[in-house]
Amino acid sequence: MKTIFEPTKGMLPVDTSYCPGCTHGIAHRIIMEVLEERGDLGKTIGVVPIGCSINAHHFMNIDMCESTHGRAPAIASGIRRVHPDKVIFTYQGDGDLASIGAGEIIHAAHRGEKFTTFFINNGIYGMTGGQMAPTTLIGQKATTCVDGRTVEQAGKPLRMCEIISQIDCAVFVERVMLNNPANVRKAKEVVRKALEIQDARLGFTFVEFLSSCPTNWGLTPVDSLKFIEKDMAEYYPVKNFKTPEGF
Amino acid sequence: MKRRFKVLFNKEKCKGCELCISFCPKKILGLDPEVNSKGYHPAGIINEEECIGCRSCATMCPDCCITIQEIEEA
Repeated sequence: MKTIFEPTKGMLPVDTSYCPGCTHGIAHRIIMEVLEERGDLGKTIGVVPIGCSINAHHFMNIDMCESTHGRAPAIASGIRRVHPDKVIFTYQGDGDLASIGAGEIIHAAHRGEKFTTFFINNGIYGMTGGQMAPTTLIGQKATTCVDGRTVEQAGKPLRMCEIISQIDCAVFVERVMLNNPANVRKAKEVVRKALEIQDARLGFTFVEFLSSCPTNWGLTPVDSLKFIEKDMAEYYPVKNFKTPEGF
Repeated sequence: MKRRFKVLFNKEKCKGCELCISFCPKKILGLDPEVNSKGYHPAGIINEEECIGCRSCATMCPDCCITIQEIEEA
């Protein structure tokens, strides 16, 4: 009997607090699988945000730090200064990174901080009950826009990869989506590349995951993945924005 | 010779989201009629003989519930 797939040691054997079918679990797993395959579980420090993934430090089998709302990049910048040899990442949702933490992330990118940000974009505030986020699509319903977001009322959704990629010291920017096995495997390779570029200390690295929120979207987990593919990927193009030479 | 696989589900951890079921190319997964202690119908394999070991179920599982083994014939 040969084991060809088993849960990664990077995830602790506990139940996560995520709803059934939430792609946070997939994003957690592929990041931890890459760290385990690189042999980095003992020398990685993660910084988690406020939001659904606030409890990620109970699920990930690495050293972690909790941050205040949106301030994970500031804390990771400090950790990098005292731990120059560690692998450092922040894991942030869209309510955290694109809204209250927009200033922090822009300036971490602008300073070319040598850590990686994993940005989970599901277009809604999940933990607080499905309010409209800066990334909510036009026409998408949320508890603070019950008839759907309109341009007149709330403008258009914020595209973070496009903003970050214009900053010179952000050297690697890519958007991936977690809607089917092929794209999950591609996303895992993007995570690996981002960490390799971090190893080379070339600058700031940023990976955006188009993710689902079945509970607050009011869709089944399977239909949520179809929504990512049809609606989100149309507004948020899935592609590489920037890669340094040689990678 | 046909390769054979064993798919093990952590029934207590499963939340019954059905992502594994929908992405199985052989359509050989399904939900159990019984519920686990969290109250979800966990996923399981209905026809293990048909499994091709593609790992699609495990790749999409958000809760790390799936282990896949290959049965090595002597």
